[in-house]
Parts: sequence; C-alpha cells; structure tokens
Amino acid sequence: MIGRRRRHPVLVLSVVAVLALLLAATLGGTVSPAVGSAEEPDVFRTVLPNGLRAVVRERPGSGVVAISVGIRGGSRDERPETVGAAHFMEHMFFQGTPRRPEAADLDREIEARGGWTNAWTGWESINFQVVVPLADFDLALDVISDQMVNSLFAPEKIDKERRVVLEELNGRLNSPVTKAYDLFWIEVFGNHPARNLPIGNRATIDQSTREVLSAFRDQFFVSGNMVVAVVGDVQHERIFGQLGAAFAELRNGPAAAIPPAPMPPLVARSQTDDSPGQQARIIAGGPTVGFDSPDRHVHDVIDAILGESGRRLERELVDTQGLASSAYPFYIALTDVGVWGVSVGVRPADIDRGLDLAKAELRTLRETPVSSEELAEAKAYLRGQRLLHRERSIDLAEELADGDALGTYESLAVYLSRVDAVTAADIQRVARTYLDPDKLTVTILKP
Amino acid sequence: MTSSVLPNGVTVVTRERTGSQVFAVDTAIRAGARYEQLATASAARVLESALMLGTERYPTRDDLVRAVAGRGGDLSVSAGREILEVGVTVGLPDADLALDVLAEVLLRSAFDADALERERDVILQQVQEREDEPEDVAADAIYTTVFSGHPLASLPYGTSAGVSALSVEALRGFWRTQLVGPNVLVSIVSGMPHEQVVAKLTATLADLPAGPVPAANYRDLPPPSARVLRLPLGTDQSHVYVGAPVPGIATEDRAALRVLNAILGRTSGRLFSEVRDKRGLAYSAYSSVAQFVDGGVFLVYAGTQPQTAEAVLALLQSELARIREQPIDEAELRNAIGGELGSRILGIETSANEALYMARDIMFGIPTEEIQAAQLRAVTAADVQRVARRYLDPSRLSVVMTGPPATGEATP
Repeated sequence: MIGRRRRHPVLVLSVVAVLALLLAATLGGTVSPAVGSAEEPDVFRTVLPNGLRAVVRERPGSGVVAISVGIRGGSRDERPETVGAAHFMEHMFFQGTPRRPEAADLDREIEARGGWTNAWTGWESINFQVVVPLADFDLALDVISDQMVNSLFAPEKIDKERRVVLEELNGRLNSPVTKAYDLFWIEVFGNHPARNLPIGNRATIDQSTREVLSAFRDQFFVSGNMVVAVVGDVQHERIFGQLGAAFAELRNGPAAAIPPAPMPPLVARSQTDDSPGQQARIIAGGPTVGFDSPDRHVHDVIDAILGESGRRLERELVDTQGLASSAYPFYIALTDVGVWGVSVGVRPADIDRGLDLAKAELRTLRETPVSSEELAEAKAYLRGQRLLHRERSIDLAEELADGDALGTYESLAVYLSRVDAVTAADIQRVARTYLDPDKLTVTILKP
Repeated sequence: MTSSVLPNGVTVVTRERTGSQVFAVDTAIRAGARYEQLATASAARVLESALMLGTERYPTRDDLVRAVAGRGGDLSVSAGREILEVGVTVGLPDADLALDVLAEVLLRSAFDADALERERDVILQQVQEREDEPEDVAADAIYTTVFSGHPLASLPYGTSAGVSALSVEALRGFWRTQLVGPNVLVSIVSGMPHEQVVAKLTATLADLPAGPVPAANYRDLPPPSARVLRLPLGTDQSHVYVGAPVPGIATEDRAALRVLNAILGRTSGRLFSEVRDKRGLAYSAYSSVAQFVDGGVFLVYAGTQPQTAEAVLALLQSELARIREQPIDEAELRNAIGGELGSRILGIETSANEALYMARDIMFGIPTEEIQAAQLRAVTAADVQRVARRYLDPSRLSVVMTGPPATGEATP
C-alpha cells in the first residue's frame, strides 16, 4: 500500500467476512436499527439511507477519536495502461472543495487542533483517515465528508499533482529496499491483475487523464461501495445520525465485486537488478492463499515461527552464521490470493549462500513437524501482539472500515480462535503446498 | 505522573492507567553517541546489538527475544545521540518477566568476546545497508555538518570505521561508565500502581551502581557556518536539506521555535504548500526542530527529481527569507499554537508512546505539560519572526544535497 505522505509498511489486517451481519443490515429508506455484534458488543453497524455502511466502536474513556473511510477498489481493478489511477485519485481528494479551495485548507483546521489526516491506496481498497482530540469530532467529520462528497478535481490541480505522484514514485525507486520489493511483487503475479502496483509507473501516471481518474471515481467512490468507521468515546445512535447527514450527498452506486482471477502458478524464476551501494538484498517467495482461505491463519503462524517468535531465519542467518544483516519472512493477504516470502540482506559475495540457507529453512518446515513448544510460542506471540496493539483508535477504525469494505472483517476473538486451532500438521501441509524451495520467485538487487 | 528516586539514584516515573492490561516500559540511559570518545566511537550503536546478545540466565539473543516474544511482547534497544533506550512492552500479567529481562539486559549482559566478534560483521552490514539509503545518508550528513566538532555530531547509527575499530574492552568500559543510577530513568505506563512498580524495581535494579557519575560533556555549539555539501548518491531523486543550529532545550526561545516549525513544517504549513501543493515539486517537504540539552538543529527538507534540486533549494531558502522578513498573521499563529497544544493528546494514545514521552521529557529537562502550554500560549507573531531572524539567518544555514552521480563520477 502506498500512502499520501507517509510510506506505510506493507501490512495487512487479518480480517474475514462477517457477511451475515452485513446482509442483515441492508435495509433501505431510513437509518436502519444498529446491529451490535455478538462477539463485539462495543461494535455497532448500520446502513445509512443512501446505502453507505457505517460502523462505530465505542471506547469509553478515550480522549482521541478516529474516522476512517474505506473504499473497495484499488490497483487490481485498473487497466494495465493506466495503473496508478486509483492512487492518483486518492491524492485528488486532498486538492480542495468549494468550502476549502486549497489543499492546505483541509489540513489546516485539523492540524490546528493537533490532529492529522492521511490516506493510502492498496491493491483492492483505498482508505482515508482523520484523527483528532475527542472534542473536535464534529470538525473532523465535516472535513472528511467534505472531501468525500465535494472534492473539485480541478484540471490544473491534476497536472500539478501528477508531478507529486511522480516524485512519490522516484522516492520508491531511489530506495533499494522498496525497489527490490516492487520488482519481486510484479514477478510473482505475472498476468494476475494484482501485479498492478498501486503507485503505477512513469508511463501510466502520465496517461492518467481527468477522464481516466473520473471513471475510477464514478465506479468506486459511491455509497454502496464505501464504509465509514468511527472509533472513540462516542454513542453510536448519535454518530449514525451525524454520519447520515454528513454523507447524504455522496454519489450513489452499487458495491464493486472483485473479479475472480486464478492464483498464479508456482514456478522457479529469478531476476537480478543492479543497485548502487554496498549491500545486496534477496527476496524469495511466491503466490499463496489470501483472506478467503482458512489456511491464512496457518500462514500467520508460519510467519511467527520463521520470524518474530521462532526466529528460525534470523537465528540461522544472522545469529549462528553471521552471514546476513537481516533475515525475515513476510505474508501479505489480498482477498483471494496472497504472497509469502523471505527477505535477506547480505554482502554481494554471499548471495548464493544466503539463498541456500533460507531454502534450507523452508525444507525443514516442510519435512519436520514443528515442536509443540514452538507452536505454542508462536500462538502466544500472535495473541499477545494482537492484544497489545489495540490502543490506537485509528488502527481500530481502519481495521473496521477496510475489513467491511472488502467483506473480510474478522473480530479479534474469532481470529484468535482460528489461530489457536492451527496444528503442526497444518503447518507442514501449507509449507509443502506453497513454500517450495524449488519453485521460488527470486529477486536479487545487488551492487 | 508520579516519580521516585531509588537508593542508587535511578529515577522511576510512572503513569497508572487504571484497568489497562498493557505494561509498557521505556528505560533511558545516558549512553547515547554523544558520550563516545575516540576509543569508544560507535559504542552506542554496537550496544544496541551487544545488549541483546545474552546474559547468564538468557545465554543467547534467541533466549532473550523469545522470552518476551513468546509472551506476545516487544523488546528493543535503540541508541540516540543523548540516550540509549531499552523498551519492553508486555501484557500486565507478564510485568515481572518484563522487569526481569530488563534487569538482565542492563546489569548482566555477558559481552562475550566471541559472540561480539561474530556480531561485529553483522553490524557492519547493517551500517552499510543504511549507507545505501540516500535519504538516511543525507539526514545524517546535515546533522554532522551543523554539529561539526561537537559531541552531538556523533552518529547513533555508527560508522563502518567505528564499528570495525571498537574493542570489546572499550565497549565494556563505556557501558560500565555510563550505567550509574543518576544516569538511568525507568518510565512505566501500565495498569500497575506506582508503589508496586517502585518496589519491584528497587529489588531488580538493586545491583545497579550509584556512581561514580561521569562528567557531563555538555558544551557550546560550534560557531554557525554556511556550508554546502553535495553527495553523489541515489538514482532517481535528490534529497535537499537546509539546517541551522539552535540552542538546547533550556532556551527561552523553545516555544517560539516550536511555533516557527509548525508554521513552516506541517502538512498545512508553508513548505508543503509552496513546494508540493502549489508547484508539485516534491512528494515530501517539511521542517523539523530537534533539541537536546546543549544544542539543537532546525531543518527544512524536500525530496525532488535531480533536475529540480537547485530550484527546490532556492524555494526552501526563499521561504526561510519570507518568514524572517514578513510578519506572520494572527490566524496562522493561532493555528500553529493550537496544533502544538493538541498533538500531545494524540501522541500519548499508546502506553508505550506515553512511557517514551515521559522518559525523554525528564532526561532532556523538558518543562511540565502545564508550563509548556503556558509558554506556547504566550508566543507572539513578533516572537516567531525574532527567532526566525536570529536562528535562520543565511550565515547560519548549511546545505546537504544528494543526487545521482554524474557520468564518470565515483560513488563514495
């Protein structure tokens, strides 16, 4: 995902469909009765009269309130010749409205209260955010709804903002780590539509005309395809009323489904690219399952075993061999497909050995069941991390808005119970299916 | 916020969040890069790794990290210019584990010579990896340029030469010298009452020596200069920094400098507006002010394509000239002050962040929230212009620019 002004780490919230809840709430006409979740009594959902879905998490005692708007739609939905339009369009929502004609006008009022705004664009969704002290909720809602409903998209601002987007691309290309990661991603996906990077490339950014941008907006930035989430010390009934009024003039339109695409094949391939500097970066991995698969939770456990809790990669490549500057795994889930990989930094002379050692760890995972201690530790790690990292209102708001927009939201309790159900046999099965050292996509960036 | 001092001089500061299930610790030790000398260059950076290499009861990095990660917690060591911080965050039921690991890391790290030798090569690679990122190199270079010759010029990220040359004895000596009670502060935000935290720390940190306290090396900044450094680095973008020295935290101009930074540097601020929103010349454009005990630096920055780097530099300089020469209006002033007053509420949303804020406030001698708020409210438009003129005069502005090497030019 790429952000408007911050580079977000590539992260994916673990969420799964609670379709029943959404269907139960699809009533038209007036604000429908809020449906409190059975698992999460502090979370309330409704559908506003214009079809915009709304969700509130009440957090008594919190001094901060966060609003997040999630839109189903991203680079995966774009044509290859204009990829980057979704992200470009996201930028254009910060370029002024009749009441706030300049970009700075949107931020000025929020920043004057100590708050901030931001947005990011991913492969399947876009997310807008505003965070303020609780007392300034009305202002924050006024700003983010003004952006969503009344943005002007002035032609001269499109050409100016095109240069900003190109600078964002230049920044990614100028950093060896992000450059390697983008090359790997394109290689893994081949002809799959998720090969489209949200940032696009120089040619496609140049070809994103006002018509291309407007077409994306008209298809995806519509009431039935969006979710607004509010998290803070608020009362849901009152908030639903305010949201209904603030977003009443949003363009109407239906939800956009994700066109299915078959998972890319697992094949061995390798690419090497030159980069100035001293250190080489290896990224090796491949395609795997996404949010819609129960094996997603197995992947999270594998990630913990290779990485933070089991430390298999770092222990071998860094602690024991002293070979690498870093060695860590990653798993990124889209709705129906995912990517796993390992990232290793080594001296150019050690590329082959680094890759061999990483492959050996994959073989071990395929051939030897993990011990019950290591498995328990990985689960405790995932549980503890999820529990500890729920203090920021914006994280919770983003999780709800993005998860509901994609239909992939999963409560913490459900997530933890599914992680808890993962067995050593599951790990071996998933590793044997996807973590194949003989069918790796390998990207090497070296001086 | 409640604070106590243990018999050995360690300061303990806590904020109790009633009902919170999080136990967040930030430990700050005056062992940052500024305390390094010739023989101990890069010691702070090496300590980041060395403190994680094992103790008697947790013999390896694996044992240490897994003790905490296996409970879902976080453990980290990070070196700065003034302080080195050891952070531990766990669930409240694991508070004893967190304090045990913390005491082990601080007091009983083995500094095993073999393990350190193996680690030295890993650290060197990490330092070189950072040297491959043009934005990081540019940021380091502007600090080094502004602080040239002063202890604050020491890089917390280390240098290849320093990491290569540092002996195990020198490293041990550095840590032994700096780790004395009055140099240590433990900041905890959790669901645990202050008295209980103090009782636990009195026991776990009992072996931490009370002294001798090493002499502080606070001193005046070097005379300001206007230097220009061009670094042939990167492929697709130039990083442009303009920096000037400012006084340390105790200066009466601190609040005015914060307001000046807010006016120039935020998303709705002048630099973002002029460089990005009006002209589309950058994705990132901001200012920042970093103050330490005896000095600080005010920076403006933009990243732009190499062909427009000179134009962007001129634009940054003209914005500095504008704020020196033209009075700011009242609305801009009020927005800047309001933002500074409100941002703390968002900043301390997580327990770990609040612990970190509390630790730094005390270690750097930052006034209480109430005093800071009063100082901010008192800042006038004339104050802002005065500090801009005083500190951002062209004779004090140094420049660092990176960009792709011209054909035939060697990369350093």
